[in-house]
Order: sequence, then structure tokens, then C-alpha cells
Amino acid sequence: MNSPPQSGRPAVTPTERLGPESDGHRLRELEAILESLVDGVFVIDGEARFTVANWSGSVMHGLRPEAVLGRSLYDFPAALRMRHFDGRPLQEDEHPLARALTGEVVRNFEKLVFNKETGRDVYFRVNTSPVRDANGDLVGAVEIARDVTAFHELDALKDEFVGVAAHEFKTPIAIIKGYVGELLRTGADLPEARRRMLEAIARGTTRLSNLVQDLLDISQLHLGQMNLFIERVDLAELVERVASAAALSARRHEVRVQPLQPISVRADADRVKKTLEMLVDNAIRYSPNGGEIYVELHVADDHAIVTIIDHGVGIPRDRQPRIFERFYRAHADTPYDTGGMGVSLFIGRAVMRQMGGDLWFDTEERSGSRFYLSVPLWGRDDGRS
Amino acid sequence: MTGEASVLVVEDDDDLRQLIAEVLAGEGLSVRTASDGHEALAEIAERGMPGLILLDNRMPRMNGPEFARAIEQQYPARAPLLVLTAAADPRAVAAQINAFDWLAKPFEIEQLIAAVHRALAANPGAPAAS
Repeated sequence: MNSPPQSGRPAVTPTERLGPESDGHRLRELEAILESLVDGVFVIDGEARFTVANWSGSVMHGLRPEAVLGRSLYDFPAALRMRHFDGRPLQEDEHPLARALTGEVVRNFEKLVFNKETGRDVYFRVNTSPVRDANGDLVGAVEIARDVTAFHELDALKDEFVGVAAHEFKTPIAIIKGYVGELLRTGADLPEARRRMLEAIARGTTRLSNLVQDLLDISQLHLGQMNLFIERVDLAELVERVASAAALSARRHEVRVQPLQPISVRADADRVKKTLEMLVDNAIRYSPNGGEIYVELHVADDHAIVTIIDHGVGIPRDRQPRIFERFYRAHADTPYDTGGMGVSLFIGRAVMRQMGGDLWFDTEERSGSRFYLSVPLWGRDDGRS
Repeated sequence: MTGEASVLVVEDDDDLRQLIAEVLAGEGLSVRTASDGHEALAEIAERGMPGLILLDNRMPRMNGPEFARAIEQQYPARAPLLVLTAAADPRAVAAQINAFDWLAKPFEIEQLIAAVHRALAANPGAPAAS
């Protein structure tokens, strides 16, 4: 109510207009505000019975306010199929109002509710707080619930769009890649300049193809649809293959790996290979002065751990906490910015974790980085199912 | 089907079908083509079972899985299937239709040739035309 006074009259606040004697008016005004709110408002007393349920909140849950008022909080979670966003049922003591009734303030709690009226799931973001009397004793709790279904659906739609678009890119890329590959393969008599042109097209197509695959991976991971093909894999053989290929193609770097004993792990071989290639590529990319890249492999407890060690530029301290975020580029706007979408570490870690392994790092700015990739060992019982 | 091994390429994209046919013909294989599952069934009915079927997964009219089901019902001894797919999970696509192997789009020419030879080698007794 800070708008400037108009036509010379002083600004009047609602409170002043009602006057101190108008408690009844205040109450009705508050009721009108509650009923007009877009967000849901619920209040329970110390016995967990609803004393306030506004129109928005009730309707979003597929109920009428009179069907909520006076009822127990615990009548609803099962009836409304209350769940976490990932689908796990919400236990009674997890309900944010139940937690507030123990004195806890809960912020940004996410719950999923089935609305019987519309037949659709509703995604809520919820804040709850305890209510205390003048003596500080707990006498109830309040919940403000916001319907975030539209955001959630938009997010899912975006991932589906990215997935469909990436899928559709693949056939035209296959045509370009295929014909260029065929021209190079059968063109023994190609003039050198033509060959270089075709090789550049082939490299560009491979990059495009990798970008499309990354986009597809991201959408699959976010939609929870990434399928892995877990089998018994000799990690030592995989590490040696990746390291020797990198050693062959590196011009100013030495990629070194110790001779290794076979180590059987439970893994998706393609995915581990891609993640290792990405880590070795990063080690080379962020060691602009050349030098040695070491790849080591050892066993710790029930996991095998690959370590990729470089003595390059490291990762700036303030950016380290974010390097596994989607689309985060740790070297953006630095002299070491070599482009990319900032998704490979995100994908790598998500995939390794889905496999029961992990991906993490140690780094020191200007001294280099160590990235660790762990994979579960192949257990005695693994081949039996 | 005597002499050279024959491959039926079932792919709806004209350019990609042409590319695969040219590469495989260059490998000395006898190549037949179809642009969807219906055409492929007609082709097999007319000229017999090939040694290998390269099958695109997503096609209009009759897609890869529909074709695989149809051929399974009509021909007890069908040729092995090599699935071509842009799907995020090509292995799952191949497993779903009991395919011999899969090739993810986009593929290297060398991968295509190797996969075709592997499938043909694994199926030396490919049924001849009936």
C-alpha cells in the first residue's frame, strides 16, 4: 500500500479504514483473502484435525473444504495416494504437517497427490510451520501448498522434446556420416585437398553425432529411462584399450598406464568406456602444456577404482562444487574454455551411479586434477541370476 | 539363393537405404531392398528368404517389430535380423524382436560391414528360396 497519494488526499491503509473496533471486518477480510489465494492454506490443531482448509487447497486435492475441515490429517495420505515426486509412498511421519506438529519448520517439501476429481496427479511444493500459543506451546501447524504441476510437466515435456529431436537427427546424420565414410574408404585416388575436405566433414559429423547422443542421454537420465546393459567386464582390458587409443592420438601428451591384471566388474562396458574416454580427453584438454597423463587401476573393498591423473590447469576452487551439474562448464570464460555443452561429467557420474559405482575428483588449481571412477566388482553370486 | 549371400535391406529413408545397398554390393553381396515391412514381406514371398535381413526399427505402414512378428509367424526358419535403430537403447530394441545383432544410427561404414559379415557367418545354412 505504498502507492503515492492521489488528488492531494492522504493514502489510507485498510487497517486505518476499518478502525480498531472492526475486528469482525478484519476477520472477514482475512477469510476473503484466504479464499482468494491461489495457493492452498491448511491449518491443523494440536490433535492434527483441520481447522482451516481454503478453497484453492481443497480443490487442488480434489476435495471440498467441508470434506477436509474437522477431519484428521492422517485420514488423507493413503486416500489421496500421497507420494514423493519419485513415487515412493509418503509415510505418516514424513508428512510436512505431521513434522511441523513436532516443532519442525519444513520448506520446499515436494509431494505428489492423486486428484480423484480430475483423475490426474498434482505436484505440490509445500512449506509448513508449527503454531504456538502465547506460552510457546505447540497448538497446531500451518501448511502453504503450491501447485507446481505445470512446471513439472513443462520440464518433462522439454526432456521429451530433446529426446525426440535428438532421435530424429540421427538418420540424417547417419546419411552424411555414411556417405562421407564411403567416399573416404573407396577413394584411394582422391586428390589430397579433397581428402582433407572429406575428413573435415567426417570430423564435424562425428562431433554433431556426439552432441546429439549427449542430448539424448540427458533426456533419458532426467526421465529416468536410461537403460544399462550390465555384464561381466574386464576393467583392466577396457582401461588399457582406452589408454592406448589416447596414447596413439595424443600429439603433445604421454598417456601412461601400468601393465594390469584382469579385474572383473559388473558394468555396462560401452558406458564405462565412454566415461573413461571422456576423462582421459579432459585430462589432455586441460593440460595445455602437454605432459604426462597417468591412468591407474586398483581395488578397494568391493569396487575397482580407475584414477586419471593430470598435471594441468586444475579446476578453479569456486567452480569445483558445480562441475557435475547439467550444462555447467567449469572453464567457461577462462583461457582454457574449449567449448562443449557442459554435460559429459553430469552424464558420466549419473551413469556410473546407476551402475552402482561413482565418479569424483581431487583437484588443485594450476597443479592438475585426479578423477576417480569406481565400478562394483563382479561378485561370487553375480552370474547366477 | 545359390552363390553369393543375399541381404534384404528394409529401410524407409531412401538415401540411407541406397547407401547401405551400395556399400554391401561393393562387398560382393547380392542386395535386395524394401522401404517398409509390407514391401519386405512381399519381396520375401516373391523371391524367397535372404541370408540376412537388415531391418530399420521405425518405418511407416509396417515397422520393424511388426515385420519381425509377421515373418516369425509366416516362416518358421527366418533369416537372422540385424536391427538398425536410432533408439536410445538399441540393445533393448534388438532383444524385443529377438534380433541377431543391432547397429545404432549413425554408424561407421566399417561397423556396418563387420556386423553384416558377422551375421552371415553365424548363419551359413541360411534357407534358400522355397
